[in-house]
Amino acid sequence: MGREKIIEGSGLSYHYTVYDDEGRPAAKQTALDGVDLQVEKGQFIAILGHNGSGKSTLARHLNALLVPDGGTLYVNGYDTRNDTHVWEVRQSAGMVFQNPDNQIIASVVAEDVGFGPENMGVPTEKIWKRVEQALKMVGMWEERDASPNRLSGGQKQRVAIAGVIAMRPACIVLDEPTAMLDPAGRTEVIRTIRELNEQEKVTIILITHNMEETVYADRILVMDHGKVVMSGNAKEVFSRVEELEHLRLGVPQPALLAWKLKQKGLSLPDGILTMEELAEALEELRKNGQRGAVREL
Amino acid sequence: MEIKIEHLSYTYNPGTPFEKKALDDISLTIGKGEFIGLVGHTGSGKSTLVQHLNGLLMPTQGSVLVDGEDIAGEGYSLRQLRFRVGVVFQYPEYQLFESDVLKDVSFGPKNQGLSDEEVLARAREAMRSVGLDESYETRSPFELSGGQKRRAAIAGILAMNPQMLVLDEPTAGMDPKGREEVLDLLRQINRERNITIVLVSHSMEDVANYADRVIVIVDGKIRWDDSPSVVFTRIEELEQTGLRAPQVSYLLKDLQDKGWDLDRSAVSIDAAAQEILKALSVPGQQTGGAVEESGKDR
Ligand SMILES: Nc1ncnc2c1ncn2[C@@H]1O[C@H](COP(=O)(O)OP(=O)(O)OP(=O)(O)O)[C@@H](O)[C@H]1O
Ligand SMILES: Nc1ncnc2c1ncn2[C@@H]1O[C@H](COP(=O)(O)OP(=O)(O)OP(=O)(O)O)[C@@H](O)[C@H]1O
Ligand SMILES: [Mg+2]
Ligand SMILES: [Mg+2]
Repeated sequence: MGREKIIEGSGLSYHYTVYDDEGRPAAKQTALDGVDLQVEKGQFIAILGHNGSGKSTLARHLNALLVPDGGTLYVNGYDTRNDTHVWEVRQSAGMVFQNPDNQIIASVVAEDVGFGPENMGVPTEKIWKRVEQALKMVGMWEERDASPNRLSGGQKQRVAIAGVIAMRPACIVLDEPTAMLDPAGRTEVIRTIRELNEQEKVTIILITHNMEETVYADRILVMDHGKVVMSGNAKEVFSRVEELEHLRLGVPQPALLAWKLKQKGLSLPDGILTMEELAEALEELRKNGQRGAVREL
Repeated sequence: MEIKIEHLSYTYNPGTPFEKKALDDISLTIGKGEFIGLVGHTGSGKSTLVQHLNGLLMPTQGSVLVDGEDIAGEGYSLRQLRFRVGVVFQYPEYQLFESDVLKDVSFGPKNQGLSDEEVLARAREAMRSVGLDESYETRSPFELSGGQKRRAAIAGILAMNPQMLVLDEPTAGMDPKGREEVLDLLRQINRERNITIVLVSHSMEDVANYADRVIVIVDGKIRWDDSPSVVFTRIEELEQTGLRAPQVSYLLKDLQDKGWDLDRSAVSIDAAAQEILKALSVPGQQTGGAVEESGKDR
């Protein structure tokens, strides 16, 4: 076993310094508290956790925007604390942040997407090929000549994702990339992420509050107050309904509905995560004669 | 209060190469105490529309009447209007500007000319109701996590006690529990205090669960304006506009296609669960019927 690791973090801790009115350091805010994180090349990892649990802080460590004040973190083999490697680290792990407004700089969509590859020294003809591919992947090719500040929130976010895709990093870290998208945009982005992962073998780290988006991940990590408190595949994690609620999370809608139906006595199998699975299980129940269908009412 | 929008159109940057018609002949009435869900594809014009409700934007054509008075009229007090209609913006960072969270949340009520104690009481209550305890009072709003910022922005508007609350994607970036808490709070404010709620959301599930009326905007025009159970059963048409139906709608449709006898107008999880149980337990139904003790479940 043991495929090549792209991310190896052990005992990561990080504290923000909080300043008082006069700008003097006044207190420390713990954001990461002993996080171990091992990601193999090509994996799709999802990270869940309550507001303030440390997800974005962890993401900022993966491209060396922050460096740990305890523990070690290697990205693609580079120690993020060693600032001679910042460039390699950034090139290995591309980031898509929560708010697209802070990421778009150029005055024309296509230029913005070409900015990353240009900085990396990609030859001009290749840049435009990459820009076209990336914009088509996120469904924004039509708007290539538009000015980003005329776009709505959702449209901007798709451009930001294209900008990262165009850099072809080994690993993409997405911090709530769909939070501002409409259902079609959301589906499209998640499909794009899965394609990048399955076809291009890009390592994906997806931070989200949307439980449905994590069901295709190889592994889900759940954070709580700076620690990783749960880790497993979707079936394992989402079978722990009450624990998740306690951690301020939930389960995907199909799993929730299945759970409610079970509470009412229907004997449905464990591990239902999609509406298709639930429909099949219910149809099975209906067909197989009903004696065993309902345990008690 | 009642807001009446008549033939409203809005164009950004008129007369320039960047001209963009964002709203096109919108007419609608928002009655007191309604809970409205406003949905539409990205760029459909939702944020543009809601900014007209408190006069942040003025119509290019048409009018916005608040209790019969045109807000573009001479001498109309927009300041007063903004106390009555509270708007939580889509991007909370644009709403936060004070050096600590308590000051930030106090800003609105302070401007309303309330006494210091009253301002403090209102601010604290609002913070509590969005799940920010005392430890956040002295924190800088810029040093909060994404979801914490969103909570602070909502608290700032709640603290003004507006008669109408307009929230542009208030739960984006919130953890599932926080999302439920905020939506429950809105429902409570709506039911107990008859405050009008306009909720802009990309979550069809949230709109189906909380709103009494759904307005669907497509390319700057109103496409549908009806109850959730009517709007959300038009699955194919919704998908053509970049939206979708709540997830349970797909399940019920799938089951119906498989020959189940059920009512597809259930759009919330609980209603769908009941519909499924009902369909399974009707005696003598289809192949050998279902459960003997039918009718026991509600
Ligand atoms: N710039 C900062 N200065 C001080 N404290 C901060 C700063 N940014 C975040 N924090 C704190 O660090 C902790 C972790 O924040 P982080 O942004 O990593 O959370 P998160 O899991 O991404 O939350 P969310 O789901 O709301 O985005 C929180 O308690 C937060 O208040
Ligand atoms: N300041 C602006 N200048 C020019 N055009 C704008 C501006 N703001 C928005 N637009 C354009 O107006 C249209 C409507 O935008 P609006 O922000 O109202 O959409 P929305 O429905 O809120 O979208 P989202 O779901 O992404 O938030 C879009 O085509 C957008 O590109
Ligand atoms: Mg975050
Ligand atoms: Mg908007």
